[in-house]
Amino acid sequence: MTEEISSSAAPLKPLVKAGRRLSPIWIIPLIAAFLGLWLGWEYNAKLGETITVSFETAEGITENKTLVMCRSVKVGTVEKVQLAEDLKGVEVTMQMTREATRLLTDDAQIWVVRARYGFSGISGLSTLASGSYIELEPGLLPESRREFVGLEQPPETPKGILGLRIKFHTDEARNISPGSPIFYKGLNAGKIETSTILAEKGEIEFGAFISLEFAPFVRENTKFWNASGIDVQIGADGFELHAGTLESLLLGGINFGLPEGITAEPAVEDGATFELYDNLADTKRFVMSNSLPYLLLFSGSVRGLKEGAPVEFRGVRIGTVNRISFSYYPNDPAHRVPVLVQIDPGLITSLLTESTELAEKFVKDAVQKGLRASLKIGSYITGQLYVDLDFQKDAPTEHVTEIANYRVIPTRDSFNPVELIEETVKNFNKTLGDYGEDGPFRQQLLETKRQLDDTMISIRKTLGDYGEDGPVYQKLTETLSSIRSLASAIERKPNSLIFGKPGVAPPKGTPQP
Amino acid sequence: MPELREGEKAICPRCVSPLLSNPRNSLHRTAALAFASAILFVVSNCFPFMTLESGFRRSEMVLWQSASGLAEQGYPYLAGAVSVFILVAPALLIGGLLYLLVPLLWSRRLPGAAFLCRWVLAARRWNMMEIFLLGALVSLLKLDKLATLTLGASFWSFIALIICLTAALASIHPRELWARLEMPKV
Amino acid sequence: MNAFAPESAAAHGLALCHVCYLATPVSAGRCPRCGLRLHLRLRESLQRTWAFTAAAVILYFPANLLPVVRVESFAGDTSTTIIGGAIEFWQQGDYPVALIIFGASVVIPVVKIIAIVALCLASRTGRRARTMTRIYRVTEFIGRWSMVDVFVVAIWVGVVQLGNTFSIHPGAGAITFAAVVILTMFAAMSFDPRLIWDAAAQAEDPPQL
Repeated sequence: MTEEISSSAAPLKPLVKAGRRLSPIWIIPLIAAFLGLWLGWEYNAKLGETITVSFETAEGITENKTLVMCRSVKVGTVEKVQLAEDLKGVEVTMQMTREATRLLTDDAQIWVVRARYGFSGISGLSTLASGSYIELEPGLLPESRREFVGLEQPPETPKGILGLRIKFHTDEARNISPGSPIFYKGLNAGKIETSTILAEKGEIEFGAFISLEFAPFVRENTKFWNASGIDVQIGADGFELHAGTLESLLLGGINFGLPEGITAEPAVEDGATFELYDNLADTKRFVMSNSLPYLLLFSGSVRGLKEGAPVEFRGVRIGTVNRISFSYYPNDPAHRVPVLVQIDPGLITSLLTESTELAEKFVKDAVQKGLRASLKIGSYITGQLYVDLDFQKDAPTEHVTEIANYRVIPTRDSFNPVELIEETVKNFNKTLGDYGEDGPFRQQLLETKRQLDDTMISIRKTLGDYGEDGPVYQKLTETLSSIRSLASAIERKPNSLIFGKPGVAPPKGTPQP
Repeated sequence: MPELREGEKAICPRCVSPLLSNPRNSLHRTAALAFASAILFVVSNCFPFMTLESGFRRSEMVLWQSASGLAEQGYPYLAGAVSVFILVAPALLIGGLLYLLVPLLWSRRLPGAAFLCRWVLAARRWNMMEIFLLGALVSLLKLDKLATLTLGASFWSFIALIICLTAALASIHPRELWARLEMPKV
Repeated sequence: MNAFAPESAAAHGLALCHVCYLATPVSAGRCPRCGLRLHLRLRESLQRTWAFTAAAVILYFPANLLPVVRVESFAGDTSTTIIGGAIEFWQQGDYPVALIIFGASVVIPVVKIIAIVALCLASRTGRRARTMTRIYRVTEFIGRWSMVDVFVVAIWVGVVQLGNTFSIHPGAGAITFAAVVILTMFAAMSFDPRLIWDAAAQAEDPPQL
């Protein structure tokens, strides 16, 4: 067998194909060409118009990435981002889809929905942040525009979308901003749309939109509170912790609802204004819009009583401590501490329609019968106090009086064990001090001893008549001696008077049970 | 060298490597497949290969962006290598094949054919598109769990491209190609 | 230095152009068909092969120790090496993926390097020539598949451009590993398998089949 040997001189003859029949293999490139053309045509068909939108800033907008949405449907993509000619803003070119062309009305609104971090339910390596996107809201005028001026803040929910529009007042924004969701029983019920600062009042006003299905839950006495973050309260009941959902922790959120046991008042209309409370506990301070204020004047210290503490009648909560301040009654000759409480008529009377007159009358009658307010310890752990209303036996007759425009419920001296304990300990210390080195008792002892000495001398003199050897004299001498030694012992160790055994050190301030 | 009838192969007696074969209709077949590959190559580089969506973020990748992305991240040499393996080598192969084969259909030979033929045959080794496809399949499995992954038109045309190009290369043999090229220059 | 087997073309002074397969007397200098310089065997074949192989071995360690991909996310930054990635896949239950990555990035390069070394040694002794030649062909073929991991990284970097808080970056391990694969490919290219046959012919025992 030989290997191939060919001389470079002899050329090889090219193989000639028989005939020029087009082999069926050419179908393949034809298919490929067809595919390419079809894809290209389809891509072109989907293309819509190109629009330019000017914004102040392109923050969050990325070329070829940021999407343009309309009601959660993709209608375009950002193609190009460049500085405006006058360098005062940016111009964003967006490629819209064909279906989106009819949305490009003259009065369409375009704004950037800035990134808010939320969690998408993805298992795997990590969560992804949903980035900013651009929202387009078409208007009602005919479609014609290709150049737009973008809005810097999202507009209020258009009139077309049904729902309830209300306002909130609060002193500090605390993680709430336009876009923050509003929850009802954990469901997303609406969102904050606008925020304005009211300079004169020093408050912030938020405009909010509640969607139609949740609107009926908003009543005149509905409370709204800030549910973002974790809320820890130490109150008269002890220790409370509230945490919103994980999402509201990050996004900030507002919850609303009716406090327990309260019947709903009529529903509200557009434009109603509500107070936005900082947390859930604050809402309990004002249980109802027409609660009754009463002033209580306490003679002792109100240390341990906090605003928001409950007011109870025989263990049932009927109100809340509203304010503690001398300003309510600064000129009290007895310098009592004024405490303003709110009594909830609905909790006193069990009538379905609470009427304040009935409640007032109840309180008035009760006071005449001996109802008094006093401070009691709510929790030994926290040392917080609460206001207790109860009938005092054999109370001197008193009436509901009025001071500085507030009705006053008379108080009685509270048994404040803490104070009592403190007092006792103080007294105890004082007592021990009395028996100490420089205490007055010792002085007295010395006096007594001196007197005893004098007595002994005079008795001796007296007994001189009875004779020194007589038994009376002996006994007397003995007695005097033992007294003397006792006095000396006490002189050396005053504690023995109390504790009996010499040399036992006094405990430090332990209260005797 | 024995003349081969269509369908026969000659092998080296010593090391059993194939020497020459004469598959059917090889020239037309190769040329047609080369054309198809050319079209598919263009298509694969024009349309998105894979799209990843999560929330309102969307990321589309076109084939060549797997190389440009590396360059953007600060690895230009790596980007260069990857682009050779999936862009330059295939392009050279396809373009070269067409440059050589199409004239051959009319028994002609364009200038520089010999030079180009050498490079085309060398480029075979450096074409790694099918390995890229395997890498894409592996990535697919992982990325799919991360977010919504969509396979674009380019993905499928890429598969078709690999098939066509492999078939094209299989239906020619270097010796035969050289043999055909060796004719009086036109 | 090698003497050629008596019946081979080389013994007759004929060089086979390894590109266009035209056999020409080596005295002609260049191949008349394709213009490539003629030589009986690849120039400095063994030297080049050893050099490339050595470089590949040296780079193999940083390639596997340096991270090949870096993920930045909400949860923090993670850097993974090739082997680390394979282990991660395995732990997450993606057994086929883990096997592919491990096979392509660890098994294949190691096997290839061992094979090339074996081939170099065989070119001296000439033993098991036919098997060796088969090994050579296989090695050349499978070597390229190690690139899988590099492409996976390239695709990840290209696709996952979601910005903000989740992004993927290539690591130094990627380019190093690509270099290793390229070097082994060059090593296989430089090796002239005919050297084995030359050595086989030279051996006292007849070449084993």
